[in-house]
Amino acid sequence: MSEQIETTLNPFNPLDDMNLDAAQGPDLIMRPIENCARFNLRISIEQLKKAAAAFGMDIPDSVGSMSSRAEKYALCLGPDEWLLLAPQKSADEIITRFAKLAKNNSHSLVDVSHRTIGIEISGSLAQLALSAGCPLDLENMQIGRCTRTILDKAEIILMKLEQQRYRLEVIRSFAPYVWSFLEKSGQDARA
Amino acid sequence: MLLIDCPYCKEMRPEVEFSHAGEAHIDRPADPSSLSDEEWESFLFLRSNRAGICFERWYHIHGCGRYFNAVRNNVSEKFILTYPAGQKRPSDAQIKGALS
Repeated sequence: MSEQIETTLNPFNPLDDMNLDAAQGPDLIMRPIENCARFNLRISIEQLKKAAAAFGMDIPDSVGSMSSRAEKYALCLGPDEWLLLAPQKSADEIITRFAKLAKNNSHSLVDVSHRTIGIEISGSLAQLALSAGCPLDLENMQIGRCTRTILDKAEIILMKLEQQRYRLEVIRSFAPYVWSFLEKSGQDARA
Repeated sequence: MLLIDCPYCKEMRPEVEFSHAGEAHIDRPADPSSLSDEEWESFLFLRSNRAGICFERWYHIHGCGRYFNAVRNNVSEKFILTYPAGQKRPSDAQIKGALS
């Protein structure tokens, strides 16, 4: 019985069943990002400094900007909405610190670690592969910008890390679809 | 592709990220129980439905996740002005200014 429960509770990654090497090459490198802690933060902009202190790094206040330090990311997705990414091991500490903050500063911090799967896409074809489904002007998107947007039929969060390196946060059930879409558009770009 | 100026993102963003959300500047009656059936029907269902310049709510659902208002010509599909929700309806002069 206990064996059965353990099997049921095994974390499941929708990309595990896929052949992830099908479209890889030096011009297009895709990799799933290791599990990390993700938090959705809603707080008023006046209290943002306190949230930044609790998170342990600067949190940007203009929509579309992003800051990062030591594997931590803070993304400003909307005028009062942030996505915080951090290594799994620091999750408990972050939750404790925000719980302390909640005593005097009302805010909402929701653990959404398992809502999305991270995918990193890089190489000289990365931008072409993304542009096949994403209507944004990726060429002129500045490095260090982030946004929620659409990739073909799926909603994604897109982060531009370098000129040819992007990180996507994809809703788990859309991950196989997004992965195969990028594989296919990457192959098309190569042809 | 049609680009829409999101007043929260402060950027021109592609149309597919947005969703239309009905006519703008319709206030919910403060005391619904004092209204007649006809008045309540009017609040719920009757819209101006004009051809030409109209005031609409739009939702940047696949972006910043905010509702905002837009002045749009629904014949030519041109977005004339967009502004944050809660702001007053722009005056005729402002709309004219944005058009010229």
